[in-house]
Amino acid sequence: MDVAAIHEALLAHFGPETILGLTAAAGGIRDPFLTVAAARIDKVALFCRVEASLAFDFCQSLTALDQGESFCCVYHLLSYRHHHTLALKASVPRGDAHLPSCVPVWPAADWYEREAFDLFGIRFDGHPDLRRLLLPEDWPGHPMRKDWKEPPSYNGMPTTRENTLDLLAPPAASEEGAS
Amino acid sequence: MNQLIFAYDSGEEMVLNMGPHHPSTHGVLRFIIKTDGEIMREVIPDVGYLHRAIEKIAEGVAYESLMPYTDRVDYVSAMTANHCWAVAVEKLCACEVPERAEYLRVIASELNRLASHAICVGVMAMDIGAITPFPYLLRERETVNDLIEELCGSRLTYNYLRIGGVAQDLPRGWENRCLKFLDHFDKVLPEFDRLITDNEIFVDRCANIAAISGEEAIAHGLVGPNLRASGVDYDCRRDAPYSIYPRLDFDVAIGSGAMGTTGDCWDRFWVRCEEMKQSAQLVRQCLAQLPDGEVYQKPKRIRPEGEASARVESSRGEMFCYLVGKGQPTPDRVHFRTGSFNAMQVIRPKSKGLMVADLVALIASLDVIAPEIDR
Repeated sequence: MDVAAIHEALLAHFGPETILGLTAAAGGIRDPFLTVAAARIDKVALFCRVEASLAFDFCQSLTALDQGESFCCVYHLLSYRHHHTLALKASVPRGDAHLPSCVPVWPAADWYEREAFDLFGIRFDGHPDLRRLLLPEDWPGHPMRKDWKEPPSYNGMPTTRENTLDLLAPPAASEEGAS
Repeated sequence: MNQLIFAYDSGEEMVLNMGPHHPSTHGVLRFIIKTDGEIMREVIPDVGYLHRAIEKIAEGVAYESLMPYTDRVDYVSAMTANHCWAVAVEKLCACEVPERAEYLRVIASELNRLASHAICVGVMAMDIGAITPFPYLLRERETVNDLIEELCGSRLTYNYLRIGGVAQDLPRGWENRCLKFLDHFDKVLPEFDRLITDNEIFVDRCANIAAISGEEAIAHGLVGPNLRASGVDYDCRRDAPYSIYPRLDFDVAIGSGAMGTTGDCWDRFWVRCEEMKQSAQLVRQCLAQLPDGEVYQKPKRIRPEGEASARVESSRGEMFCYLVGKGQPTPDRVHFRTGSFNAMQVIRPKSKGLMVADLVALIASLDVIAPEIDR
């Protein structure tokens, strides 16, 4: 199925309040994607997997984009039966970033969602074990957010240090004059 | 020891820590094992020790300059990681790649796959207790490393591909040296099969161990050799073709439970042995078809706006790259989803009820590479 037909099938089942729109492949957008209401993403995901004509049985990737006021969760799906692909996008507000978990639909989403939680601080409601995945438990903040700043130290260990080459560099001309 | 015997006798649970430094864990990773001393009740993988923040770094370097970083995404199969990044950027920028460069990319990738699988099956045999096969295959991999070193000057982190082609053309006489190696390698694999693949002790240790059905493999997102070992007939090179793979003729090896159950540790081992043979054939075909011409076409200024995704069959299965550009010299967002990431996830559900000693077989058969999980 091409993406327009998939869009129609989803629109017929869920209506325009859930399936917000189709962005076709044009210009720099090389892969078309559907925009979906974040609160209903688990329902859409389940339909995409169980509906025989769609059969998206593999969630290839789940990640997030920092778009300033909001985060955008991006789901890339593949069907092994039909060999077609689909991208779904769901926006959540930055101040209250949470959306339903897709782990019951695709067990593979378990670590994808933990990674997105770890690096972006997006919460997935209903996830069985939403802990940090890659970073230590006590890591401050969510570093893939664009406004994240590296703190000067972590657990008493400095995160930057002086460049020893600067220490050994010959003194600047003004300092020489002073001595 | 006393505690172990006590736990086993009383039916109590003990918690065993494996790693983060362990010779069988293929990089730095850690498992927390809940066991009665023999049978595992739960295994909790703990990853992140090799997290290099490559996706964060990518937001600060130019598209062309990320190539050496992609080597570190999967250092055992750096060429295919290079390829994934090149395909993603070229798709986003609509860059042309000269035909000869595409052939050289496939030759390099398939040689790299051969070397990577050699490590995987060799290490798996060693993890299970057969030391000899590992140095035998390591010796072959050294020759592949020599060949690749002639191509790009390094033996592990290649940085060979460029946006718009490859770094260098073949050195003089390289084709003949490569063909000589392939002729030699054809004799190695039957010897290897006699030594280990069909070895009764090895088969006993691997057959029927941690069998993953096709449905489970798909649900948990296994890709590449791990997926095919479970009987799912899907190969990115054939079913979502990129580069010049449609012009090449190769078989896709599918696990069938020849020694036990479909998708058991032995099937995963066997699929990789078969793929080494296919890779050798693919390199031969590429060398026979290799056209003349340029190997690099400098792309126009790389400042793309938009987004693209790329899928490449890496040695550890389909590698997925999602790339967003905002018209700047550096990407806005880069995401890699790798084969080991998904393979590592499946260890927790599949290890319940296994013997402690079989966990090592399971980890080795999934071919997880720690930096590829953590990136």
